[in-house]
Amino acid sequence: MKKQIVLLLATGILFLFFQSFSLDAPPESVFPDEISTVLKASCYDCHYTGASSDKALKAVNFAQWEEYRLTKQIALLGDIGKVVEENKMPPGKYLENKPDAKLSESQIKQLADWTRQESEKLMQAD
Amino acid sequence: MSRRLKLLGLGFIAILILLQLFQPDRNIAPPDPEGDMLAVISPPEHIADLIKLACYDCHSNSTNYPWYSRISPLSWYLNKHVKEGKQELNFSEYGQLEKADKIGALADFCDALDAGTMPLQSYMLIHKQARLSQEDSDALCLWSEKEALKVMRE
Repeated sequence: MKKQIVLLLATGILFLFFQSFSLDAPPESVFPDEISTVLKASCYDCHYTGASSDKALKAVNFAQWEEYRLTKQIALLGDIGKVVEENKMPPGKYLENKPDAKLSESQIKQLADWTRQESEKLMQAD
Repeated sequence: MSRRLKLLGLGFIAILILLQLFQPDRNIAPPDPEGDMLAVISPPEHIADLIKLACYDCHSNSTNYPWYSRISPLSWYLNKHVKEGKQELNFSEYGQLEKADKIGALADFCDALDAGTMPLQSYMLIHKQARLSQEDSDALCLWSEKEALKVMRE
């Protein structure tokens, strides 16, 4: 009987242990958390797999970021910095329906700074 | 022919003649060896020729103008294309780009060819020399990617 209890406990512990590798855990983002939050709120509606605009997805699809080749990632980082700094993205028409997606000045700076740092990092990675 | 129709025709011709007085500035600047991509990188001759023939009319500071480019309103239409093209990418100012932007330009160059978005269909319709074969297109892409990686290591 004692043996059975130990076995049961051991199974229980093992079971709990495997919970930490739960399949439901959200996949870790390839971007830093604070950047990921901004992108999600202001860009993913159109630039993430599942969005309806082919044109937007063709321009950049953040869900496939890691599939872009290195030089393309650098190209995209440059484009992202440019369009947010020039207030071209998110576009005005989209913001009419979703004013919350508008980037604040500090968010614009945050994104632009990140694109430059990330680009520098990638250029050294090779 | 009725008098009215004659008058209408004459009016139309008069407007066309009047339009000729308004011509946009020509996109012809002296060569800049510091800025021009082909001078800065000096790719193999075949590659350089392809880029010059297929891209430089709209993506550089030296357009090779056809005869009809002096006729309004065609001249305005051409001018608009050149302006937009240069805004997107100007090979004559490649040398002045930041390192990351050079890599970006080269990567986008390959993608535009690969996706078939460039050269423009309307441009290829008239300019036979811009109709790139699959081999030419692939060669350009391969070259630009190699060049982009080279810039990265600089």
